Amino acid sequence: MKRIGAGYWALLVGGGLLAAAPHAALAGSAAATPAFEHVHALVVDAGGANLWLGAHTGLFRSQDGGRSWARVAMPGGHHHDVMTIAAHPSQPETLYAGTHEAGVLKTMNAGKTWTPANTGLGGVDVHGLAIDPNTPAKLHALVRDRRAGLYRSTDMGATWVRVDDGPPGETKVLASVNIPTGMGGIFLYAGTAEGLRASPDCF
Amino acid sequence: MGGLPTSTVNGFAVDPTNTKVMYVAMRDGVFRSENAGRTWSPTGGPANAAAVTVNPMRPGEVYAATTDGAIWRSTDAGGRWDAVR
Repeated sequence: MKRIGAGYWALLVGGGLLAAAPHAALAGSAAATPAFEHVHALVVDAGGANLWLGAHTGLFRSQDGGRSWARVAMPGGHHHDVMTIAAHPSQPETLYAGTHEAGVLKTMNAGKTWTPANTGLGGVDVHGLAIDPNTPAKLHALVRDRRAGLYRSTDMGATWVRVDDGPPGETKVLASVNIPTGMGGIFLYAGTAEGLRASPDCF
Repeated sequence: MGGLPTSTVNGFAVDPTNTKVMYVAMRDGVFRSENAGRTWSPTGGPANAAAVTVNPMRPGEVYAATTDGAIWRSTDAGGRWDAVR
């Protein structure tokens, strides 16, 4: 077992910081679809029928393969800046959203209602969420503010514990990949401003 | 580990039925690996890609979103892409 902060994040590809891509707001989009502004995340849920998109202007769902989108209401009527989305691998109605200002939100009814899932998280700016495909109760979250670092939950987001500093550079996306490490775990991949990294998840 | 531009990796997705098949979304487009990330090839997906995802029910179906909200779809694991929005 490594000490906290000693995660081995091997650089697979990339490196070096370049200017961010343009953040142009959408122009001329379908009348029924609000502008996303800056897109952060896109997932298909376990049922394969719904696309979920996280953006600066909130969370959106498409039920027609991405042609049209509807905004998904979130707690407090806020349009959270949704940085990351993790879909449960076998329960289509269970998803987690990581936000810029409200931590992790969880739904178990396909977005009808959301509950905060932040107990133990050291901050509310969540830039990565990964769900273990073999053990879906286990998640990892990358927090950027206050007690920044990588957190793990083993109870579907009910509680979190800080386990590592996380990869170097700003994390853009986090994913648990079902490739055995040989040490009893699988690999955690991180897309960052400094390239793609992977680390065994046995922090 | 070659084949990717030196820039930010914005998005990442894996084929759940074959985890050696991976996709990344970058400013220069969508790239695909068939060996768990050791080597990568461009797919012809959209530039300024912010996110990419694989449909777990149809793993050949891959979606990409650009930073400004265009949505693209491939139905052959990144071989050909069509704009859907």
